[in-house]
Amino acid sequence: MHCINSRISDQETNPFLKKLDRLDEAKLKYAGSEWLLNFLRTERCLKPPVLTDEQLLLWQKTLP
Amino acid sequence: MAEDIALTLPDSLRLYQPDRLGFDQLAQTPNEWFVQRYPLAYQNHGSPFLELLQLRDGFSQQILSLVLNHDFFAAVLGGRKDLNHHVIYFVPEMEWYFKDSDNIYKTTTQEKLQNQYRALMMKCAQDMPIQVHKLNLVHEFRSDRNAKIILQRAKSILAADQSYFSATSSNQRIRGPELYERLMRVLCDTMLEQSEGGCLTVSEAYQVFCKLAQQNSLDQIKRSMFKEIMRDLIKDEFGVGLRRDVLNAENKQQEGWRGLKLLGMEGLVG
Repeated sequence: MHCINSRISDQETNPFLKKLDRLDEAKLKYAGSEWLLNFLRTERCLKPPVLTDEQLLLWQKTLP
Repeated sequence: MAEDIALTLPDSLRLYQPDRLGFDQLAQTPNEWFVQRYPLAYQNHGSPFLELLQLRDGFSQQILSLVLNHDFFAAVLGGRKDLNHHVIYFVPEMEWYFKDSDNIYKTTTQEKLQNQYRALMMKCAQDMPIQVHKLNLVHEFRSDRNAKIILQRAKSILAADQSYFSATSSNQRIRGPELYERLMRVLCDTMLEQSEGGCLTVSEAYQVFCKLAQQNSLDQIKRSMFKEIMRDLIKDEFGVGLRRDVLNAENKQQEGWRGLKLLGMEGLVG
């Protein structure tokens, strides 16, 4: 029980775990965004490069 | 069929009801699925579907999407605001443009927009629980007839005029005549300075502009067109008019501007 509680509390406070959560969320959102955009892109449209983890988090911050 | 049901079962018909849905909840109906993703389209055009609720076995209900709101789905093609997506129909050129993830608008086709619409409808059907009847979502609403009607509506709902891609607009597209004027504005703002005794010939300015265009992967434009736009820009920004008696390096009289000089030539290639 103590172990579970400490893990939950870790998830809330540990900056590393928080960053992983944000990264998972950003990855999911980015995949959804690319899924939609790929329907509209044509062959001659240059596809933007694959984003690194840091770039993904930055990308998420630019969203409205 | 829809008309018969409207006459015989009016109490079983439902539009989207905003109070039931929390943002973290999983959508249980097609209406909820679409409004969660496109709240603005709902605000402007109302419920995505007219749904029919039928008691299945005394305990559970079956939901059937009966009628499609074409206007809602035309607005859906405009893109998801939360993902910074945007699609417009650029009326002056009768072209569709979408904002790519690099924030530059690129052309697309109505067939591609129809593909996206059909894929969304299918994804919604796949995400629905067992009590949702999926026939219309998968078959009827994804028909060419419905997709064409939606695209036709979207032309007016997503219409943008000439000013959308003007040289001073914040919206930038991958190709268009305004890109040359944008580049000339950059040249005026960052590479020209007022200087007493300074001289700038049209040829010098055009040479620099051609290098800038090359750096930005733009085709060259005619010198006469460059001169016409640049004349107005310099007049507006520096209050200096174009004259024909500006001396060049060989002491020959040329067209150009007095009291201006070029800066920052080091950054240009070639």
